[in-house]
Amino acid sequence: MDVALIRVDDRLIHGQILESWLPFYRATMLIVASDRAAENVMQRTAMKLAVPESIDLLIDNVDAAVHEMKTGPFQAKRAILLVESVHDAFRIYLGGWNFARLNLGNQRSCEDGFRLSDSVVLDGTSMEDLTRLNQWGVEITVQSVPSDPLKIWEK
Amino acid sequence: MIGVLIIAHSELAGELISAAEHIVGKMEHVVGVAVTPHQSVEQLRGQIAQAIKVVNKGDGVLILTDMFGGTPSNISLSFLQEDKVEVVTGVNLPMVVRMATYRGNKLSLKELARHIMGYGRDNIYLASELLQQKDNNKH
Repeated sequence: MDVALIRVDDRLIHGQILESWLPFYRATMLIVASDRAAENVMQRTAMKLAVPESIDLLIDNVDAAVHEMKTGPFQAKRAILLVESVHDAFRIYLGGWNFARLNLGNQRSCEDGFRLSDSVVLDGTSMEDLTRLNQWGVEITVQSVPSDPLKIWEK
Repeated sequence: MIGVLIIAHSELAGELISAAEHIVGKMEHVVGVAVTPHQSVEQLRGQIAQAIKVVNKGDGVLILTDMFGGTPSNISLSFLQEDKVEVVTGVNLPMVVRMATYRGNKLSLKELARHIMGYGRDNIYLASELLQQKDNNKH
């Protein structure tokens, strides 16, 4: 399976994903890897309703999502993978899905943390996870929507 | 009176309220919440909870959001409560104006929500066709 984009976005599925990123990559699938969303029926229902019929949708907790991505019947799909936090992206990497690029879209883990952009403000733990990913060769991009100038983050 | 919360991207909510008030005058128990890239989801949730408290006068609260699937709607959905909180998406100016003039009609929360949903929808026209229709009707 072709995971065209792995994005940290604590708003998960919303306008920027549906109207900008999906068309940009011509993706045919959305994967939401979130322990919280996996447990929340209302959230899952809302997400299913928001995603067009023509796009496949997988919502699962982080560990199960990694497993599905490795073994599931989606090999012909081009997907966008959404996680709520840098830490969840880190878990996915450790789970054996070794991505080469990570997009930071929206995450506010604390008010006075490290400010990478208007919409990405990270606490200490997130910065540690990000640094490690970067050290392992992951390119970190900071971008809200595809038409924004692309910022690369490096330690 | 049913309280109203408008929540939308950027300053749309506040501007819709301002525009409606130009037309119908000051509206009571109507509050706007702006959704920008600068808020965390938790902050937004807190703002919505607070706004609901402010406009709730005992007859329920109608939340109007700009777009289903957008963050304002997504977070508002978690406040849905039968007879207490209703959500209508796709808010436009006709809908807000109608809400202001119709609220006093002693409708239940669901009835009001359904009515202005239909009103918002019905007030979208293709001007050239509408004018042609009206023209044909004259002859």
